[in-house]
Amino acid sequence: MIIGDHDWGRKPVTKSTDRKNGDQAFADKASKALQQANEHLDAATLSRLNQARQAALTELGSSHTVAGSRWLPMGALAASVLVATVLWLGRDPGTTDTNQIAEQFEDLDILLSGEEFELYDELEFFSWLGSELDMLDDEQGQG
Amino acid sequence: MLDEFLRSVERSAYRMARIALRDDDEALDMVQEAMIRLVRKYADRPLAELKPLFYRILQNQIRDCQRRRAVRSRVMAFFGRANPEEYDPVDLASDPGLTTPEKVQMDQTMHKLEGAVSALPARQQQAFLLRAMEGLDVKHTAEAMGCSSGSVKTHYSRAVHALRAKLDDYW
Repeated sequence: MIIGDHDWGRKPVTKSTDRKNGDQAFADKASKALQQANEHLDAATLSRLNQARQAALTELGSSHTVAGSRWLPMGALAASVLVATVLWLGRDPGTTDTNQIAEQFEDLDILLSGEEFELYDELEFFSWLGSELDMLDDEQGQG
Repeated sequence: MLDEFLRSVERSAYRMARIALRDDDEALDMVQEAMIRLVRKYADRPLAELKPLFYRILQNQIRDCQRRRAVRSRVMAFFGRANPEEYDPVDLASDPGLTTPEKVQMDQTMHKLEGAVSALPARQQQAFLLRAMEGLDVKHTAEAMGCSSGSVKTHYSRAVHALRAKLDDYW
């Protein structure tokens, strides 16, 4: 039997191994470059990042005060009873319209759902869109 | 503890947002907003959980910002107006500042690298930056990206191949 040229104590180097080593070497170089650049950010950016951090930590102070309150659940219950009372008293006394009554309680349901109204994050955009449309209307009116 | 944590991630977070959004000011706003949201919702979580949570919040913010931009861009195009938020490569060019040869070299390297990473698809970009820049392992990268470990490996591998194709000659 003829023994081949392999070194039997070692895995043969394949194209796949080469590529894997090359990928790792590249990723290491890129990683080092990115980390180095992060260490050398300019003063203005660092200052702004510091402000961002302080703004977040300020939030911590106020959110912990609210979250730590033992009275919050009681307060929420009292508020919901008050809202329900106002809605009930505010209804048309003569109404037997079940739809109208259902709408009022639907409002209450929405208020108590605790959802974050992220729609309001978009208000700035929709407000801008509205003003753009108004401007377009004005231009067309003048034309 | 939170102060130290935020300090440890702020620079990488800024770099990530800047590469994704191609705008320094928006990137800084995103980082601030992500920090605030993390503190609001997750201040009481163990330290080990904060990094993936923070980057998940940041990625969601960036994605929402990109979507808003896309909508505005389509609306502007509909009205036949130029989009004022068109990407301007000059915006990403670093301020010359000190011009030591080392700094110039570093700036040139970063300019090329950031440009190449910016051009990656979003998921590849995220996987690459979280693994290579922030040093997250596959499991925590998957948590930050909201996907499986297998997906992270795929995205990361494709990102590295794409970047090598562009930058291997340069490096």
